Amino acid sequence: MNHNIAQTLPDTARIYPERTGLISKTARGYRSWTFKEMDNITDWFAHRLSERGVKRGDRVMLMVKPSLEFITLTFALFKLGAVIILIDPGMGYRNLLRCIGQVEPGVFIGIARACLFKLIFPGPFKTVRISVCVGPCFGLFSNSLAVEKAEKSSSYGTSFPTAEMHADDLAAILFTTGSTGPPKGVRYEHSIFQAQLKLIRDYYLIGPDDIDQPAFPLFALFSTGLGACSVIPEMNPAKPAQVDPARFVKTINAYRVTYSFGSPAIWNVVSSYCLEHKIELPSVKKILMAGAPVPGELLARTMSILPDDAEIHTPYGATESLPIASITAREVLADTWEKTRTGKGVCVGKPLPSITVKIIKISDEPLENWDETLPLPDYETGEIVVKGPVVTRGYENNDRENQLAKIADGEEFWHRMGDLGYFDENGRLWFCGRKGQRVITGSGTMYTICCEALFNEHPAVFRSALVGLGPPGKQVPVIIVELRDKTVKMETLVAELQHIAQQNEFTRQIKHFFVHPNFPVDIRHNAKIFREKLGTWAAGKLSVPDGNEQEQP
Amino acid sequence: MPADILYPFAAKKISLHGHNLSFLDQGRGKVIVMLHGNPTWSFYYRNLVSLLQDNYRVIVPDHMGCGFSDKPQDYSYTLKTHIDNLQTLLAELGIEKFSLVVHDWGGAIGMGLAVRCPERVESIVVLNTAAFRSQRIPLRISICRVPILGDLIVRGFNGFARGALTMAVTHEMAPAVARGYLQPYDSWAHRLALLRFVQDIPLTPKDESWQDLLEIENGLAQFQTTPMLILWGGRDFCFTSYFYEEWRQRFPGAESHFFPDAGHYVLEDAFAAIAPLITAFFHKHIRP
Repeated sequence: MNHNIAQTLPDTARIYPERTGLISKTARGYRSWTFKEMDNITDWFAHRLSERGVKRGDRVMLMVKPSLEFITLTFALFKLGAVIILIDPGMGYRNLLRCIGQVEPGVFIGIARACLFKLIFPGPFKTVRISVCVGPCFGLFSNSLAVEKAEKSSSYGTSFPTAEMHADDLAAILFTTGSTGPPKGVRYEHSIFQAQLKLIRDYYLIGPDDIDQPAFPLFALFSTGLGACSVIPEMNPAKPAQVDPARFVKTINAYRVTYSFGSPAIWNVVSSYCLEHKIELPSVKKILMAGAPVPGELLARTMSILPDDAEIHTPYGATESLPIASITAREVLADTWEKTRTGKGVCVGKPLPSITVKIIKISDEPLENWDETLPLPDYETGEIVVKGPVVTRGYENNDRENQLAKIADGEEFWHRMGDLGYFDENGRLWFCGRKGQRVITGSGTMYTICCEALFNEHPAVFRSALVGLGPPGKQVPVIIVELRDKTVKMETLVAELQHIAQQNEFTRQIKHFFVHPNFPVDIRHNAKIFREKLGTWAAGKLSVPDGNEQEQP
Repeated sequence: MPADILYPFAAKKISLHGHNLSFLDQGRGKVIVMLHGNPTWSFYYRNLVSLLQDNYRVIVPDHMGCGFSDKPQDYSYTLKTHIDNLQTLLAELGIEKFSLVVHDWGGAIGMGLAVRCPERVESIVVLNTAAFRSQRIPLRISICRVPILGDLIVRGFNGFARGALTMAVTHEMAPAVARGYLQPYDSWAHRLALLRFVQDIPLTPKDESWQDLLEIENGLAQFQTTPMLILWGGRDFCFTSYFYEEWRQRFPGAESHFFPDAGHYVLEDAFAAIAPLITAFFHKHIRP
C-alpha cells in the first residue's frame, strides 16, 4: 500500500472532478478551482520541478504564502517524494535563519520576497542546489513557476505518478513556534499526516460536503486531503491577532463556509466585530479553536454569532502531536469553565480515539524507558505524556531534545508534551501550564494556568502571568497583569490582587504584583503568553536576594 | 472546595436603616442589575457576573435577610421593603439607567422598581419568574405558608433552601455549588427571610403585598417596547410554562427561549445555552 499523503488529491479529483476545491484571491480578484484543476496544476508543477532536478528525499524549503500555489506545490512535492520544510515566517529572521541552517535544504522554492531574503542572507542556504521562484518576480529571478503558465501549457493535464512511500518515510519538517526555547524541527512521516487526516475526518466529521476557511495554512492542506473546499482568507497567517474582521467575515458568508480552524486571537477580533455590526455567520457549523486556552467568555461570545446547532471545539495538542484531546464549548460553559476560574486548570477534554494519554511525575531529566509505575493517579498533577498514531517520533538534528521528549516503550514510544496536567474521575484531561514555566518556591510547586485564573477574575485585569524569580526551589512568585481598565488606581488594584492571593491556599505566597502594558505573545497564534520574557522584565523591577528575605516592590 | 472560591468577588456593604445590605459591584460600563429570588442569593449569578463583568458594570444585591446581607429578626420582609432597598442602593451608587436580570422573587422586586421609574430601564432579562398575580402555587410551597408547620420546614429543617437544591435543578449539583447555596442559611435565625418570602406570596387581596403586586402588574404594559429576553427552564414545578406563556403574551416583541430539560435554577442547568444568548442580547441592546 502506498502511504504517500499526496494521493488524496488525485483520488478526490477522480471522485469529484467538477467540485470546487479552492477559492482564493488572485491579482485579478477571487477565483475558484475545481479538484480536477488543482490536480492538473499539481501534476504540472511536479513535472517542472522534476525537470529541474528535484527528486525523492530532497529537502525543500517552501516559502510561499497560503494560496493555490502553496497547496498545489505542497502536493507536487509530496508526489515527488520530497521532504517539505515549513517554518512560520513570523518567528523573526534570526530564528528563521537558524532553523533553515539546521535542516540543510537542497531545494529552495519561494515567492519573490523570499528569494530576495535568500539573496540577502545566503549563509544558511549554502546547501541549496536548486532554487525556484514562484509567481510574479518582476524579472528579478529567471524562469519562475506560475499557475498562469501551467494553464496555458501544452503539457497541462499530463498526470504525474505519485511516488511510492512507506508509512515511516519522511514527508515534512514542521517547526514549533519556539514559545518555549528555540524553535525545533518536528519530523512528520507520511503516516502522521494520514493519521491526522483520519482523526479530523472521523472525529470532527469533516468531509467533501464542507467548505473550510483555514486561518492556519496547514489546515488548508488537511481540507484538500479530505476533499473539502478551502477558502483562503485575506489575512497574514503570521499575525492572526491583526486579522481584518470585515474581510474574514465577508468570505465566510459569501462562500457559505461551514467550518474554520483558527486561533482564539482571531475569534476574539471577529466575534466582537460581528456583534458590533449585527452580523451572524449562518453557514458555519464548526469552529476549531486551538493554540492557547480559550476563555469561557470568548466561547460564549463566538457562539452568539453562530447558528444554534453549531459547535465550537477546542482541540488540544502541539506541533509534535495534534490533535490529542478535545472538548466542546457547550461542555466548557456548562461544566468546566467555573472550575477553571477557581484555579483547577483548563479542561481540554477526553483523549481522542486511538490516543493514549498518561500523567507522570514532573521531571526535567530524560526518561529512557517506560515503566508501568510511572503513571500517577487521577487528580495528581504531573507531565502529560502521549502515545498514538499522530504522535511524531522525533525532532530533526536534535538528539538532546529527543532524549528529553521521548520515552521508549518496547517497539513503541511516548512523547512528553512538556505540559502539566491531571485527569479527573470522568477521564477528562486538565491543563495546568507549561512544565518549563512552573514556579518552584521553598514550599512547593505553583502552576501558571491555575494561579493566573484567580487574578483574571478581577474585572480590571485583561490577563495575568505567574513568573518565578530566582533559582528553582527558592523562586519568588510574582503576578504580572495586563489591564483592561487602565484607569484603575494602582494602590486599590494591588490591594485587591493581594486579597485574591490571600483567599486561596495555593496563591497565598504571592506578595509581588506588577502591571505590564502589553504582554509578549507567541508568533503563531498570538495567544500564548511569553512568560519567560515577562520574567526577565519583572526581574529588572524586583531584586531578589538569595535567601528567603523578600524585598517589597 | 470552600464556597468562596466559587464566588471570587469582593462583596460590598451598604447600611439601610441600620442593617447592612451586601452587594456586588463589579466591572465598568453600562449597568446591569441582577436580582435573585428565594431561597438563593447573589451566588446564583456567579457565572453570569464572570461572563459580563469585563464589558459592563454588574450590580448584584443580596436582598435583606439573604446571602451575606444582615438577617434582622424583627424586620418587615415584604415586597415593598425589598423594592425600597433596591431603589436606595441604586441611588446611593449614583446609578441612573440600568438593565435588569430577574429570577424568581427578583422578578417582582425588579419590575417593582421598574414601574416606579420606567424611563431608567434599558433592557430586561427574565428567568423563571413572575411579576403578576397568580393562584397557581404548588402544594409543596403552600405547605410552607402554614403557621408553625412552615416554620419547622423552612427554618427547622432548612427544607426550603435544601429542598431547592434538588427540586430546582435537573442536573445534579456539584457538592461545592450546593454548599455555596446553603452557606448563608446555616441557622434557624438565618432562614427567617426565606420563610417570610414564602409567606409574602400574595394569593388573595387580603395578603399584604397583593396591592403592590397589582400595581406592578398594571404597570408592565409600558415595557412592551423595552428590549426583553425571556429564558425559561421547562421543568419548574412552581413557575411552570403557564407563566412563560403569560410573559410572552404580555411582551409579544420579546425574544424568548424555552429550555425543556432545565429546571427552576435555569442558569445552573442551561448556562452553556444561555451564555451566548445573554452576551448577544446585551451587546445588541446596550453595547458596552
